[in-house]
Amino acid sequence: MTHLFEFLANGIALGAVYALLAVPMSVVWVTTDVIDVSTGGYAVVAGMTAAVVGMPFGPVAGVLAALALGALAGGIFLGFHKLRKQRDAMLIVLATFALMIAIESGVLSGFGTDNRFLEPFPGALTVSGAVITYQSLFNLGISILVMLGLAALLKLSPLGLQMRASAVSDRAAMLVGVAVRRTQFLTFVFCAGIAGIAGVLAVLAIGMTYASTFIFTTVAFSGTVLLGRAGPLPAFWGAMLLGIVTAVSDAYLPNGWAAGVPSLLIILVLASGRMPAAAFTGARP
Amino acid sequence: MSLAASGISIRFGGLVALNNVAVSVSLGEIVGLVGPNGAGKTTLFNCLTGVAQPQEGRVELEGQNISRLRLEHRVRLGIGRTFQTPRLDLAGSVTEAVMLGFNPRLRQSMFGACLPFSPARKTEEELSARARALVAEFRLAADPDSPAGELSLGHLRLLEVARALASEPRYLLLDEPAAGIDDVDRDLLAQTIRKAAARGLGVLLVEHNVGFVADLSHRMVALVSGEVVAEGKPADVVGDPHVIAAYLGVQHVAA
Amino acid sequence: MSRDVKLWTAPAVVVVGFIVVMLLGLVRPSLHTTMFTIGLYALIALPLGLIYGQGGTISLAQGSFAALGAYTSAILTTRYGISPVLSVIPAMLLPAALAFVIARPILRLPELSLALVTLSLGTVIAVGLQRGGDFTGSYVGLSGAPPLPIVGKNPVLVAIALWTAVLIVVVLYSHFVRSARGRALNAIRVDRLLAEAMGVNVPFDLATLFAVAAAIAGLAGWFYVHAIGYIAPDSLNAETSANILFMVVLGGRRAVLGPILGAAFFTFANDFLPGAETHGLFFGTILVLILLLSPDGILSPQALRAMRRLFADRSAKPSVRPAPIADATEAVR
Repeated sequence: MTHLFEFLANGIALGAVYALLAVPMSVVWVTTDVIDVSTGGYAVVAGMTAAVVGMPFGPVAGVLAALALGALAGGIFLGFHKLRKQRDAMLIVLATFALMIAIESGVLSGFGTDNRFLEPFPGALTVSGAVITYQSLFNLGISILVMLGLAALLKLSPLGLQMRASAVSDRAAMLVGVAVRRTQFLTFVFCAGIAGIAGVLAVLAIGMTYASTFIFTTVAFSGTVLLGRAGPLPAFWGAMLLGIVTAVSDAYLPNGWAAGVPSLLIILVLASGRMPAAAFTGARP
Repeated sequence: MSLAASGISIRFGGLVALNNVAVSVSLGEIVGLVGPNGAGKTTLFNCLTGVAQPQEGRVELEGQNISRLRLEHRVRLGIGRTFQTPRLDLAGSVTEAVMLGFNPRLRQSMFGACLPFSPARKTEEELSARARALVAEFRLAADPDSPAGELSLGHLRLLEVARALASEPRYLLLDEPAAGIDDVDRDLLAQTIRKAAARGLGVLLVEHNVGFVADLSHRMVALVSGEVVAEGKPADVVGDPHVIAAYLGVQHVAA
Repeated sequence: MSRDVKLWTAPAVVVVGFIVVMLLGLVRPSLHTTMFTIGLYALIALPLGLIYGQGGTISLAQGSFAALGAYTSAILTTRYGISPVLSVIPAMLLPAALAFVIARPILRLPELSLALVTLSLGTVIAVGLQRGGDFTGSYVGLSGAPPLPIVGKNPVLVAIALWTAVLIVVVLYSHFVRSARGRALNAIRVDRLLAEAMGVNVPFDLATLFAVAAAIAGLAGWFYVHAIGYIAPDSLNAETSANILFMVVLGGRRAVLGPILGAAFFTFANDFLPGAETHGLFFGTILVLILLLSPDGILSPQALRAMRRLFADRSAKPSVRPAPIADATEAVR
């Protein structure tokens, strides 16, 4: 029983990091109709940069790097809307896919194939026989803070209002004077920043390699769709659930199979048809 | 022999789009469906063709209940329709756009479609010739191989009608075919519809231009806010006080 | 005759191109191996060109289906002693069956979900192959697969066999797009509702094509494992699928020859680019630019039309004359 409790605790800690991947992806998706496949790339770049720069400035450098890449993605998004008359979200999604490939290659070239990590917080506490590291608690705390900050942003700030308006219908928002394209660009940027935070937490907790790019993106998407609804809140809970399922699978399944869990869940959720088609095409005026 | 919908009610969330609506069109008959914007005309079309599923009511095709059938199945049974906004491959040629219309009547296997020396090749030549004839008949374009995207909206609408006729349907449902067409082409359209009905097709058309429809139809149905408010001979429906009230402020010119 | 010419242009180009390169290979033998690589990629990419270029649906599982075909044949030939001549059938059928089963439920949803599901499928298959123990050879893979029947290990003969398969696919593809079924597939890409209004059973057609694409990928896998002799989880995987998509987008998803052009570009670029690590940067950047500037790739419909006009000016173009226009006052458009 203590084992299960420990796995659950690990799962929640893992879910906390996953949430910081899934939620930004879902926010970008809802605001722009685009699934940002390079979300994992932001995380890995941030983590790798943090590991190389080291404490105390590493995390900051890492998040800044992620923000820069987010601006690149946002720029590509704007480029599509300026150049093409038909706003086919698929093309932009493919472009983010290409960006992920480029980022992964960049990371491989720059940082090599080594597993990188930052020294985590030392120590752990023991609760009814289960060992919970301070790093895990830290991750959970940061994750909750970020979520609260995001919620505040979306509900209370002007930018948040514009984002929500753009999410409902970008054409309608444009008609009422919302600077939709600028809002969407900013959305790309700070969502990349959130993913960057995930990367920093990950490099502290578990370490990463260039290959983590694709894994993190898969995790992000899996958390985003797991609960069958598009949006930051379902993405958060979906990511938490995913973390728990992954941790428990890791413990009980034969070695290595847990790596397939996020992907398998994606297939099952989408194949079951629970995700409404409207989520993939966005609001039509 | 008719295509008939009865007791159709459909709700979208809290909005009642259609409330206990019945409409039918018989072979050889031209029925005009009129009503102000938002009355539910296109929704009714969607229920008839299987694009939308009503919560209540049924659709029957010559006595056979087709309420559960999907659009592509109903099309193969002989119902052809056009859409309010023309749907076609703008990059392809006009001829190819019309050739698509032959699909519902074709039984071509994937396998046969690939093979170099199969009947499919012969079929292609025949279909191309027939499509070009239609392009000429409807005066869609001087060059049938020009891209469909170069056509004006009016000609795109005519193309949709030509394409729908290409499938040799028994019932033709036209969603605002006359919108945006100039006088010459509108006469061509009216002529086409009359010829189709004379050949035995049942035609149901939705139109805003009440004069155009009244002139053309054997029978009219007026839909307001999801309910049938008048039905019968064109002169009666046009003169019906409910219909006039619904169109208050809109002048209609006697054709 | 103009219609027939269109049907055989692409196959003719393939034959001529193949002969030219193979002759050049007499001077530079490495070209024979390069042709093998391009041919493999072409075989996997052509069906994706059909699904994406004509059907508007992206599959990121082609590489993994090729892997399934390769592994199926490897296991049957090394473990059960079945001849490669026979094992080619399950190598094609297994991926096809899996593809069809997966596709039916997914294809109700728009293209984006199929793309992501197929990507996830690749991961699951990779994990399965890695965790398969002795049966699949785990991380190391399987070796000792017997050589291809008849052509053995001779690079020239192997290339000829492979490109014969490519040629057959090109012929079938060319004919398919100029048929009613091909038009139906195109309609699916343009507007699903339109396709349905034309009597097309969209989920069934897409699932069938998806399965066919998987089968051809499986065939490529069969070629791979018996020409090279071994297969590992990394040989044909999700990265391969991504590369294949790149080839289709770059070469031109709307043209029959597009995927082949993309395969050639990718293979030659790989050979000439320094350092394997930077390839992703190069290809990723090119992909973004292509998507932005010419999403239909190099052999886009506009480019092809321009090329055709160049040739049409010189040859008589027979066409069916439309009936004379009755109203002489009508302006010519």
